[in-house]
Amino acid sequence: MRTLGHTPTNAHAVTLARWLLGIVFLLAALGSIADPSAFAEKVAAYRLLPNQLINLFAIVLPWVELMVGLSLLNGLLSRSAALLAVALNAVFIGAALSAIARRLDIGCGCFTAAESTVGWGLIVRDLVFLAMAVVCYRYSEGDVEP
Amino acid sequence: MSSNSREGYRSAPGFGRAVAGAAFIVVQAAVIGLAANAVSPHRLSWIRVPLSETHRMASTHEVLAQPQISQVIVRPKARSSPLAPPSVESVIEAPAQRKLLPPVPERSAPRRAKPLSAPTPAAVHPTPQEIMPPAPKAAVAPAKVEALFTSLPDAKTLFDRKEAVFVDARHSEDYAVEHIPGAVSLFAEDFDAKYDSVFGAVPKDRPIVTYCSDPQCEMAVKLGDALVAHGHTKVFILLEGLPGWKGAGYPTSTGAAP
Repeated sequence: MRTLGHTPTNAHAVTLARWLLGIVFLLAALGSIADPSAFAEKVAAYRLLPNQLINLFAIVLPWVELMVGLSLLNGLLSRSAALLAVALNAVFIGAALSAIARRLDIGCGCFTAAESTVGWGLIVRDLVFLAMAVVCYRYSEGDVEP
Repeated sequence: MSSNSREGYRSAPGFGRAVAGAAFIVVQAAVIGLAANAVSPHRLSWIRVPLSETHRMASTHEVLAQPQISQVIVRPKARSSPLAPPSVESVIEAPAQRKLLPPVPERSAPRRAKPLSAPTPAAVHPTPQEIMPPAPKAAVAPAKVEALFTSLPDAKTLFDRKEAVFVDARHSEDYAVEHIPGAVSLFAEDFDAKYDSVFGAVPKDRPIVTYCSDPQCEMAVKLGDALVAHGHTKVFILLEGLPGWKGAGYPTSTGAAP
């Protein structure tokens, strides 16, 4: 049985997914880095973190996203970056589900432009990103034999 | 297709190795992020101020009775008419300033005070303004206009007197389920898009009370700050929100916004 990573065509698809995911993470990071205060408010609105950790989280997370995005785009440590992307998307989905369960009317804090509120549309979008990250991790080009 | 291409992907490196790489990325990002934050003009303190400490609590009665103390910008030179109603752009002379300055002869009123450090030889009799030291800046300094927290009883008084516009900062669906009677619905995230339609006809000096779902809800605070940024001078935030209002036995309504 053929598996995803065993043909050059699919290798290109994996590369494309890696680049798309990299761009998504870069865009998310840049918006948050530009306005850390607003991002901290978005984080606080989820009411998941203790007050003492919110700002620290808001300071560090966008830079983690930036590094993940850059690594996915340039291929350096791309499997590790993909693994982080999986973990981050899983956390984002969990946070969004938690907000929906608590009926919180909050912005998702995902991107500065085209900000959306937390809802099922956001969950679906994050699931797509999660699937892309899993594919990137499992079939990363960085593991291709020279 | 060659066997090499079919086996094009080696078995993935160990999970532990990927985790180590991920940890390296996180540590690298944390160091860069904290360093960038330290030098950023938008620097964020590491510890967040609790929501309840972000604004001052004020008695609405005192604020509304003495607007020049904390709510109205004081600009003595800009008053066009003594009968002009107080507003953001109007002027209210601070009482403290009136006490400090002596009566000024009518003919000398338009003159500008000359700096004491640069007297002219022709000056024989200095004007009262020249004799008087400059009034302390505290007496005329513009008061900071900010949103203020208000208590449930004060909010209820404003409600009973129909003095204030109540604004529900929650999502419109929640507003439809239950809200303070007469409140307008403006989801804080939609503020920029809907400001003109909701507040276009509301005078800037009319009291406004914002509220949302509970004391941890930032929407009311965010909305209050946004209203102040748009020039509203008497903005109050009911931090207890709708649950506090209901818990106090105050009335509520249902139905979607008109």
